[in-house]
Amino acid sequence: MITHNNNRRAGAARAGRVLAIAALAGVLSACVQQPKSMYSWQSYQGSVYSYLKDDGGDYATQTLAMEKNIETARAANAELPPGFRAHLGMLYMKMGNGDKGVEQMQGEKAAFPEAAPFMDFLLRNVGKPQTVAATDAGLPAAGSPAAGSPAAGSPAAASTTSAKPAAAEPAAPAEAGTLKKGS
Amino acid sequence: MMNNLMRAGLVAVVALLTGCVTPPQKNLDYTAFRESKPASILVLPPLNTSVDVAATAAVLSQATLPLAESGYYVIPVGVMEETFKQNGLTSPDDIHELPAVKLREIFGADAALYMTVKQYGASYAVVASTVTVSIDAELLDLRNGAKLWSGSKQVVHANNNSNGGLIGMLVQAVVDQVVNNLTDRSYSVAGMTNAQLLSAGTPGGMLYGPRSPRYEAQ
Repeated sequence: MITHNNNRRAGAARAGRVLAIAALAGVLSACVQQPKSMYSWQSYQGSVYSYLKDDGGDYATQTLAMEKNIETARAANAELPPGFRAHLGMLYMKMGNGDKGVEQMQGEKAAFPEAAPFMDFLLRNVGKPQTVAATDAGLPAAGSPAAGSPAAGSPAAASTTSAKPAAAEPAAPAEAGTLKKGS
Repeated sequence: MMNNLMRAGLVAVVALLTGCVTPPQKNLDYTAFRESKPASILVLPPLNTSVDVAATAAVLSQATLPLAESGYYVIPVGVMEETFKQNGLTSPDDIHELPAVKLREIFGADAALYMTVKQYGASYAVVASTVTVSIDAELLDLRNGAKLWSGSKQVVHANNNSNGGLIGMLVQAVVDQVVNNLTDRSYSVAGMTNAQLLSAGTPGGMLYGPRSPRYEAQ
């Protein structure tokens, strides 16, 4: 009877110890180990850095790195980070490939609905023929009543250039029409 | 007896589990942040009071990762910069002066992050060279101008020259300076600084955003 008790006690002690160790191990790994990355970060920030640092830098090199990242992300079943597609789209437009640029901007919007206002703003300006360059003042948000007002010395004023994509690449009017409808 | 031991184990589990969750610092007021529930963040080009012109690009380009991994949509920074440029805005000082309403209208972001790079780069000394990056940041709600959060972080990355005596140290100092230039180590340290400053779940840090699996639990 006594030995039986001792066995039970020893078993319980062991169970308690195992539980404590398991908890410690599990928690340590949970604390120390970073949670799995939400996105594939292989090229986006590096490309943006090259772009920002060298006044645009080498578009082709940046584009290649990002296209490669699309493949590795796909292979790893990982998501592309926010901004990735829009940045790649801008690079395409800079290189004169408006269609692929628009496609990426649409992709950004589809992947991240939060991107919609900015992407719509950019895509609106893609559709505009450069001669119209409709903006009188302010960032080419156009259409907003505020844009027509004196803009209170905002440094944004006085620019007649339209938004980047339009300046970089005038898209076909037909395409612009479908974009309008879509947005 | 058995129950006591089992209980001890369970207590350990609970204690450790709670110990793992770092609560935000108590002296920081998260009321406005919690009410605001920002989903998207516009990271404006940082002001740069350091002596290195590369600081703005290094800090701006690497702010997306910690914020996105914390659950936020981050407005594409390169495209943002280009949009400002097309409108004659190239100075971060001018951009930081833009009205929130205007920023909200163009970029559609819920909040904007205003950063200042105070130190960026290597300081060379005979015995050891260090790379220091120091950043201040403030998050403002673009819908009502409310201040949601602010923080600052300095990371000093020093080399360990523990071996080789004085001659070894002198050689080491020369090598390190070369390495600093070649690999742009300041860029890496800027990435670390951003990660420590802008990752959610750290004491006094940002809250998690809606895209994070930890958003609901916080």
